[in-house]
Amino acid sequence: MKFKLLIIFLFILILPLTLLLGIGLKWSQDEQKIIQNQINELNLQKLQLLRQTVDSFIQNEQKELHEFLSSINEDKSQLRDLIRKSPKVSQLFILDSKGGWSYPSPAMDDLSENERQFLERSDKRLYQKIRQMDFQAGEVQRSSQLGIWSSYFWNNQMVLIYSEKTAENKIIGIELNRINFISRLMSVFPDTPQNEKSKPFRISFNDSQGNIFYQWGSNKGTPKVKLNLSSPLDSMELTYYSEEENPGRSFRFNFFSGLGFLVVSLLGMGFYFYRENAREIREAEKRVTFVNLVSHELKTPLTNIRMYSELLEQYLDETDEKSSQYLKVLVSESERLSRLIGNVLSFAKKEKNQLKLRKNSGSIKKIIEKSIEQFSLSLKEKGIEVVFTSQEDSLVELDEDLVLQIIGNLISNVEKYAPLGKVIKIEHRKEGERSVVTVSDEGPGIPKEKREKIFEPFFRLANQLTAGATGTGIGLTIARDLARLHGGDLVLVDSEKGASFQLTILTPEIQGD
Amino acid sequence: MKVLIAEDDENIRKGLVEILQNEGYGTLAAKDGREALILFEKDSPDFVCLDIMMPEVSGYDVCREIRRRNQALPVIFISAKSEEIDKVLGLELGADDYILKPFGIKEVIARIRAVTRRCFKMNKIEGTSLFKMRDLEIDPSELKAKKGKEVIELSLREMKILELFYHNKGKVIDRDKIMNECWGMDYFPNSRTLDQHISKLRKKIEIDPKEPNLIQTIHGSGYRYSG
Repeated sequence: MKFKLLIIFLFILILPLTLLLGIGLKWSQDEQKIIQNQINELNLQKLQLLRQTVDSFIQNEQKELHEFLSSINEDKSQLRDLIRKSPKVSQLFILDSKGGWSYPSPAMDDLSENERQFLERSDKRLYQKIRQMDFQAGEVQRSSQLGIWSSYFWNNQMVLIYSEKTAENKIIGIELNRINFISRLMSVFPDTPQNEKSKPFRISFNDSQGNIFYQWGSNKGTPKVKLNLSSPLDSMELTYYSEEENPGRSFRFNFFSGLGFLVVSLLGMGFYFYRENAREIREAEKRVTFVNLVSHELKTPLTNIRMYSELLEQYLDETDEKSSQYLKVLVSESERLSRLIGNVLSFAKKEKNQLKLRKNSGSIKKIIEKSIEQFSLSLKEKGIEVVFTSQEDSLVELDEDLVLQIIGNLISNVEKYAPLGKVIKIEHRKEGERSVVTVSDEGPGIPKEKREKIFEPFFRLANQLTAGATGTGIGLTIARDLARLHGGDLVLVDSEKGASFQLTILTPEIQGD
Repeated sequence: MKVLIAEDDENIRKGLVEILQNEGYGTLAAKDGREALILFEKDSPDFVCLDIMMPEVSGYDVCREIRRRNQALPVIFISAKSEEIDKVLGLELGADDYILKPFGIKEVIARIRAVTRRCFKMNKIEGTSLFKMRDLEIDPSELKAKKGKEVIELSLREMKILELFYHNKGKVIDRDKIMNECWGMDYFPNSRTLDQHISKLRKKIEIDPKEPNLIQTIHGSGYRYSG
């Protein structure tokens, strides 16, 4: 029972808490995701602002390059001179209208090393790229004329080209000095702030392989957001770094603190109720154990009283009526005490679910006769006539002591509460495998509204006629429980006069030898 | 027939001895389990009544020891608690029956008689065949008599008395002889005991106990069954 109670308590406690925990964790995770997304969004916006800065730089660069290209002619010496003087420029080039190299040209016999390398790496790549490009649809548009940015990789390094088409349908272009370009680009990015008051962060400007060109900020965290730059730097990216954040930490803290408090409160309450219940169960068990002990201890002296009374009866002179009568009282009262102890014990066992059936063979008729005999003295004293009719007397399977206890309780109730009716009718019949015994009286009867209550423990009808009657109030409770244990029931049936109890029990026939 | 009674409560023990002796049984009384085993060993009773909770050796252990030596000996347990009886049955100690306290004399007698019948059948005791006394059919092995359709339960002593009268049909049997034959030489009941038993027997078997026909009183001599 205790174990069952503990299981129920744990189930009631753990199930809702588990649900709450699950919901809380889900909320927390969702909250964390939302907050993380918001943080990422904010950081992305920072990178987008930076990208705009880079785009502006590219636009300015394009303007300057356009002006530069506008001023050049096709003189080889001048071109070489310009290259030498312009730190931005790695190499200048001119393609004729047919797409052939005009400068530098493979036909030139005084190609510099730089020019030769340019031709080597650019020949196919640049040629294909530029030839494929639609100058009208260039990604970077100048205000009045179109120039095209293009890039490719050579020895894992980016080569950046700016080229324009001339009126003669020639293409002139610049291969930008990579280092110069990157360093100028880096100058548009901010420095690492000193005495950073806001949350530590780091942004890096790196290529797609993760090679960092420039970074600012002090955070040593992990990359959180990346943003590719616009063309022609789309192989480069900005990366936002931050330490492992714990978004939603305060929510989780508050939630789990609250949950923890709830758990502790529930555990405390549960423990309190469990302990109170356990204490009540222990007290009830003690009472039941005490009842068992006392009942057991009462049985030995009661056995002696009854046995010696009956022995004395045997030795009595039949002519000594008074002694005979007194002895009968002793016997009758000891039987009554036996019944009372039997009822109390049965009640105690019922409380502990220990009532058991012990079937043997017997005769219902004989049991009723025995019970009537036990009450003969008290019934006679009260002037109650016994009318007993029995259909048959076959041997059946039953618990004799149990049936005797039930019949005894019913007759006892008539004797106590309906003596003025002056008659008790007991009828026994068989209905298949069931035995039906009806015990009726012609007393005051039982009000309709009390018909079920009378079977409740300790309930007694309170009226003038029963006011003086003794009784524990458990007789009918026990009788019904025992009847049900025996596969039957005890009910109050309708009767014209008085009360009529019908006992039905399962009593299979025993085949004769 | 001898019965061993083992019960630690002195009054219950003496009461049971009285009841069984009145029934016609020889009795052995033990106040604890150890004494019960000694008496069992020494006097070989025909069946045993055992209290469960006894000092020295419990009723369970006495039964086990008895069963070790005699699987078939009838054993009746006496107990105040039905749980103890459940345990007895659960332990499969081979108990023949049980008596729950508080018990009435009739209950004890009914159980003892049932066990006696089993003993008769089991041991096929001589002199237990049916006999008739006028319209009374007597079955010693069943401790019963039949008068027409009426079945009459008899005690062992009553059976002995009837057997004595049957085997001495027509003869007057004096009181001493009846006492010796039916109570035993070692037993000295008072004279009223015999009269009470005869009176009780007449109530069972005579049509009119006040005008007995089967067992007639021969004043100054004894009793007679004329046949």
